[in-house]
Amino acid sequence: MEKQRSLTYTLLKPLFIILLIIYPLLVGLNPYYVRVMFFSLLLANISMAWSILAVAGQVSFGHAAFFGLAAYVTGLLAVRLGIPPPLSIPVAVLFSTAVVGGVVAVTFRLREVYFALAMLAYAEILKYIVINTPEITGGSLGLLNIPPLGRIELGSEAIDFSKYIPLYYLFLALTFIVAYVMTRIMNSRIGVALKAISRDELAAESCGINVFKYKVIALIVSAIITSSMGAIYAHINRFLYPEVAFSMEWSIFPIIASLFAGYEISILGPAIGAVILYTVKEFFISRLMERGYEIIYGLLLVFVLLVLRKGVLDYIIIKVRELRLGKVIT
Amino acid sequence: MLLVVNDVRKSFGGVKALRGVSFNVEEGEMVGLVGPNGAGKTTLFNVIAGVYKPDTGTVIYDNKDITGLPPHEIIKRGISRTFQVVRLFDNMSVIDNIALPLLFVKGTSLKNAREAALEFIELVGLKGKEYTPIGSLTLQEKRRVELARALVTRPRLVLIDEIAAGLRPKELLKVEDTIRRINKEYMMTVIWVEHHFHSVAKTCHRIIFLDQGRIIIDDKPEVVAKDPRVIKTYVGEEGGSTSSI
Amino acid sequence: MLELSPIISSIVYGITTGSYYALLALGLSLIFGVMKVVNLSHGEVLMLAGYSSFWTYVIVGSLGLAFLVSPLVGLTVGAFMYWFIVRLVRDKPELYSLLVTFGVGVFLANSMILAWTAEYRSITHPLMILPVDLGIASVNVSNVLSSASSLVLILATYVLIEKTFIGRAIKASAESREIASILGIDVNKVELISFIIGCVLASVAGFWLAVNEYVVPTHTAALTVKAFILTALAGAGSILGVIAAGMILGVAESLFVTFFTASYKELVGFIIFVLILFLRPKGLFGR
Repeated sequence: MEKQRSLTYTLLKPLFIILLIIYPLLVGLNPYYVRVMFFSLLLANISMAWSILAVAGQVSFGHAAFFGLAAYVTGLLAVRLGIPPPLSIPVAVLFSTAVVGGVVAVTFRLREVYFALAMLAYAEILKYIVINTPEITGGSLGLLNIPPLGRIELGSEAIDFSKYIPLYYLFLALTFIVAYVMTRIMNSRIGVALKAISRDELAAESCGINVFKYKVIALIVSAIITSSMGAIYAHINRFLYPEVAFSMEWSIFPIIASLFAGYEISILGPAIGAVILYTVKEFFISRLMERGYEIIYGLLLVFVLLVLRKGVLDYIIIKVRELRLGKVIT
Repeated sequence: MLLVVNDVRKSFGGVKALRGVSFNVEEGEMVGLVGPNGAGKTTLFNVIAGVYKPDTGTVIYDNKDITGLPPHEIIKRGISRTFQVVRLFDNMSVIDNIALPLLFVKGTSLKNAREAALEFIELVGLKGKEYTPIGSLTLQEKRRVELARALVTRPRLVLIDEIAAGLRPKELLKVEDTIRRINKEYMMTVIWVEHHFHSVAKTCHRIIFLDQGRIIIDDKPEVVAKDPRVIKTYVGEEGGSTSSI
Repeated sequence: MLELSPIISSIVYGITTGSYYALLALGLSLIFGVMKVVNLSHGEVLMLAGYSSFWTYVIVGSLGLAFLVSPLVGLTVGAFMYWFIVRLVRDKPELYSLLVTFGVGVFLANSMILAWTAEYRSITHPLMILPVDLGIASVNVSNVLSSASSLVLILATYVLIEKTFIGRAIKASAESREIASILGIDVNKVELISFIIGCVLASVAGFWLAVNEYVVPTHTAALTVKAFILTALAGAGSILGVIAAGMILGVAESLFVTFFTASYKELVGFIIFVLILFLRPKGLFGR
């Protein structure tokens, strides 16, 4: 429950922040590279969102449901009804959170594996519904011509968010906000409750924690963030295909990133893990292997879970603490 | 009458754990709850504490019906409990484990809760170990943390579940002393489930003997100790009789 | 007027696939039920065995040998996995084994992709595609053989669990490890045997998959998911339930493919799953 008094994070955070801010300059404003970092930030947010629900004891294999549904709702509102993104996005987020969240909350009591699979089922069923309502959603042929995010007029100048540099910084700012909010939540009473729940639900109940209420809170936070990512994605990408919007990648990658980095010590771990894993994958690994590079994810996961027994970042932090305090900590 | 348990029955599948248990507890009493393994003692605690809903019967606390309320409500009304198998949060320090209920039951801030916890850390004899990680404590120490955690909200009724198992005589005396203090100094009503008949007989005003889900006898320790049914259970268990009271 | 014939052959075909779904699910049920270990790499075990059979057939040319290879592979893989992975996670909460075996599954599936590419492979033996006239419908020899052998194996497992000493030991361990070891049962051995049996059942299912359809490493997850859906459908502890659940899924999928489309047939399982979750959470036959 102590505040994040971790030397490792105190060093890492400013480093990451600075790196991310100067990143476009580092890569010579190359659109492809900026786009890669953009996607890793997208995944970083979803990873944090996934993690807060995981701390609450609910491991989901279907976060793509929130992502894809919000993407399609905002896309449809914009394309079919001409509603501008600043309005359609919040509506989509609310809708996705309420609908998917509502169904999910009912299935909280399921055994872990069945809950994880139920989430997967929701994502697949939603995908199927989209594919089979082509009159509305465009089906497999896609929903096209989604309007971009728009622009902000500043006197005679304008910041155009369909250009990748302003977009990158807008999104980076958003990510910082999400990270800040998540950290505040985890350091608050809610975070304490969730951490207790993650260890022992019965003991938590007996300490006055209404477990269901806090799980719902975690779910709402998780849903809002993931849905927002999906909605933004729709307007960045400008088109949606069901196979992509509801792709298992949106569900699985956050799991791997969060477990790899560890979410127990800090909710920022998953974000850092996502950025590292995605950029490494894009820049190095998928150059070498077309398919099957995910074998490394499998190895990482098994290594982290069996050998380290905690995420890599969590492991480093604890080792650093031990060195500083000179004694063994669990 | 602080607690009235009325004809509580609870079955799990085909197993009848509680077959109509009724008893009262006055405020300020210390009641021992004894009986062989599987008698239903922990099930009874779980019913009172809201973990299980009884099939029939009621639990009245402070003249209000609390039957079937969830655990987080029960503790808010002033009943706390410990667990037979220790359930601590190993991702927090000792002091945070103990302080935690105050955050949710009384809405206390973390700082104030930690301060309040200090008093109980001392009561259970863990002074100096406030920031020790849970994983490096002995089982005995963990039990004491759990006890402190159950006391920190200053409940009116505490359910203590087998806190003295496997203790040596000296430690046993300390536990008896601590529980006595809880009852006398902190004026908490205590129901204590324990296998060590002597400890219970020495400290409690009353003993309830439970066997196979039924109360066999509910009386003063001297009387219960002489009851043939009770003696039958304890001869051979502690290699002696109940007569050394 | 509705054409009966396609419906009937659809159902019959569904029973075939249902029988090795049931085999797969039974294997998983054994592991899940006895050790409370969630094995998300179950589908990969099936696929590994299926591939082994395929390569045996391609290299050696003997179908019989290919058939024998699959349970052997299951036994080996099962023993390895138990020793190096499962043993370490079985005392931990289910969530842990879920995540670890998920990682193992990702590793195995991608290993297969790297080793053998994502092409579809199939064992095509002339004897297997000979038609068998059942009166109301016509099927292949392979359909008959796979259904028959799956049923035999399931029955053998049933006999093992219910009628033998090992079976009783397995059931006791599933109920409570502490009590079982107090009773003198070597819980480690029991768990090892259960896990191996689970993998062997999956492996034979893998062989029949290779013969009746095809093996491909990208379909492993769908199979694992199906196996879990079937255990949910069947309810805890019911072997009969697993058979029924397998048949229901197999036939439902088959009818779906006949009347709608061959893509998204995975959806059938998901819909059944969600329905069961909300309507009958204890499964169809759960205790």
